[in-house]
Amino acid sequence: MKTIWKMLFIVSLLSASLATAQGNLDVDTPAISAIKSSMSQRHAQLAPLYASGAVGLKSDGSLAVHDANAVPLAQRGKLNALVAAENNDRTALYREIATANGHPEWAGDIRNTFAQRWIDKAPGGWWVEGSRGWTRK
Amino acid sequence: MKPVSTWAAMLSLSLAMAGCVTINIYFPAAAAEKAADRIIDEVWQLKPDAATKEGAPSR
Amino acid sequence: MLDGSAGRIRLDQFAAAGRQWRAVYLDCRRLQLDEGRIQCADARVGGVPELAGARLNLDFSTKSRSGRLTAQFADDARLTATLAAHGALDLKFSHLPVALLARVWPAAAPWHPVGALSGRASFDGRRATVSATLESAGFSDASGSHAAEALAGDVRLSAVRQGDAWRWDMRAAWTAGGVFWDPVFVPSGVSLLAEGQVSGQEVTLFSSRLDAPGVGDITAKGRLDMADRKIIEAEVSVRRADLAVAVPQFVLPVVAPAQTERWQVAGWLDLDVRWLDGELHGVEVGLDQVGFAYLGQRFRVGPLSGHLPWHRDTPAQGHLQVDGLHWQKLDFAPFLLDMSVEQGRIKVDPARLPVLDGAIIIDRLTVAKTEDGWQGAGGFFMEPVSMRALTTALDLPEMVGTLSASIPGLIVTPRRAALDGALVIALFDGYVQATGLEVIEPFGLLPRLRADVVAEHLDMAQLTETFSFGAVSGFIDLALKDLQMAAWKPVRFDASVRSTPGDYRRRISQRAVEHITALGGPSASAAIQRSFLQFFNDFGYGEIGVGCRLASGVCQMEGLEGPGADASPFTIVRGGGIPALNVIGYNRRVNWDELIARVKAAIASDAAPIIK
Repeated sequence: MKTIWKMLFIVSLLSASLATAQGNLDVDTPAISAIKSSMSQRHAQLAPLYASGAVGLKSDGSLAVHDANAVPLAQRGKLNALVAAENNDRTALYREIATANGHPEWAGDIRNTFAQRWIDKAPGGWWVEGSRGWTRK
Repeated sequence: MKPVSTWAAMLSLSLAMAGCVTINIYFPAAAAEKAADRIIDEVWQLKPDAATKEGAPSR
Repeated sequence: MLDGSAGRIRLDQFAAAGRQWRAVYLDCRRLQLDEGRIQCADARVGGVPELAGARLNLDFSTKSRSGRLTAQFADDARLTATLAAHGALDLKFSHLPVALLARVWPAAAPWHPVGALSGRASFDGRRATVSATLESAGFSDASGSHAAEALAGDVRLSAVRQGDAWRWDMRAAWTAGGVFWDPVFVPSGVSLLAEGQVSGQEVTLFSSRLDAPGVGDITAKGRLDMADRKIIEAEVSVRRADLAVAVPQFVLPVVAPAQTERWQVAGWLDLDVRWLDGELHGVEVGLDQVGFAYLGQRFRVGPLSGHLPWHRDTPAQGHLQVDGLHWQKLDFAPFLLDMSVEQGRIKVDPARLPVLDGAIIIDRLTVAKTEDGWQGAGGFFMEPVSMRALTTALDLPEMVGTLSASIPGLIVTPRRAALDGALVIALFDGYVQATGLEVIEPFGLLPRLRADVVAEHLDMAQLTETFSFGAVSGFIDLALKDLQMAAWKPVRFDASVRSTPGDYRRRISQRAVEHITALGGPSASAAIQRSFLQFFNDFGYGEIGVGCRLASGVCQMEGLEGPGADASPFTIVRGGGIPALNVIGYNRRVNWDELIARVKAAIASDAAPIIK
């Protein structure tokens, strides 16, 4: 009896790992597309702010105001709103990818993966947060 | 995580925990990274070649 | 006795602004000491690094304890202090650098203050007056999240001693520049008038009035305990605040920074807030012609007017007249909501919201504050709305029937809206019923709808005519389990359509057969047109049955036989009568978007006659 369980277990584990290790994550749901297009549109406004150091990439997959002084005083409220909206979308994106693939509990791992990739792919000159605080790439 | 090492880890784990019927599906780190790259390229409007060009000198 | 030659005045100790300096001295170019009179001209200060570079002139009589001190700083900054014999102090200053303040007062240093201060202040023990003008001033913390630039303004303050108390009145105007105090930016154009009294630790505000762009006219009075930093009693009132200015500027950045861009607000607000016995006692909100829209025009409310009170101890009655409510293309007629407001809870009285030719009846509705934020709960039902009106309003093909609903349990939270009950549409001689309705992320970028739909005894003749899909007689039942929609497009469902059991005429027109087969691709329909079948106008059938399980954009089809292997054929229409006809499908996996495109093409082709 015990061996049957064991075999079942191995088989199910193997099939599960095959499915997940080889497969891709589904990132083409309407919800993810909506979030992506909202983020792409916002990127046009965010790009100069990354370059000037006003905003930087945090190590937790979110965005933060790094140096508000780089933005004229009257625009600083807008800067906050942009960062908050982007972070809202990012959180929703991580959650949606996890749910779309049937594992809501993956949201944290997906956030961490994204955090690393945002920072890795950031062009030189942008500010990123590492283990020793903010640095300029 | 490479698939081979995932299998090895899972095999040894399953042998050690015989009798337990909980099925753990591990987080597919490589697939997640691929998905992240795709989405980041789209959001930042990076073309694959433009991304390496911009990314390479900074590291 | 000294008479005009250089000299030095030494002070062992000197204290000001909470700091002490030792060994302070004045180096006078010309020093004159004569019968209790000290005259020190063109002096430099030593021992106070903050005052290095200042040139001083001192003329002081020790006998009458009166005199004058003038200080000339770098640039054109200048300070003159006159002490009269009876103890009155008079200060005149012009272009005094505010940065100097940071040098003598360490607490101000991290703020990097700049600017120039000019004006006059006098004090004689019974009366104090200050009038000052600030120019090109600003400050900023290191991160720039609390900062001001190009500030200008003036202040006039006078105070008179009355016993132990000081009675004061002030007038201030902030005329230029802006302040950003994370997350709010405030531009200039603010003026303040206030009078009151200070007695020990208690500050009384007899009256005050603040004018600022967008926030209307703010008046306040009250008593404050400065020791506990507490309001003892107060009344603050706002008259005609312009919400189009005030909400995006002051409210949204604080309560919903991420959604600042999604809301558009207009209208006027009156607000009265009262504190009594050290506690917030009551709030009255008046709304006049208020309107708001969320995410463009998707959801619009307004104009609405009304009165919303909140009283600490007793429930208060409020009302809201809603003259417009629009959702997508649905317009509601004006309606009135009466409600009672108490601690953390708003209860709406039963109300009737007319829409099209029917109405939504709110049976009960409460909005309460819970641990997870605000939550709405209630029950409502619908007076039937004709489908003809609804389909016209929503730009759908015109249908005959009625829509009604009975939703005894409605729960709305920021993440989810769930309707416990049923939405029933009497349609095509049968009915369609939706249960388990749920909207996920109702306030998110892409709200999603979930429902289970069942339909019974739908008349195919009416149905096919409405959607111009040839002509089929008979009745069908439909089950749409676990329907999930995003942006009104289905994402997932498990559907099955079957002929309704019973005895009735079952005919299917050649056109309808063509359309059904066209769904399988263009070659299949061409085959029919070439065959002998084109000589018949309609055919008899025994049963219709088709199923589709939609997931990830692919529809997994099945026929009357139920599920089967991907490659196995499945029967959609089983023939019966004369001439009989079977429709058999071969491709069980169909791309959903392609299928919809084919259905649309079939419907479009039906409108134009085919000439053979």
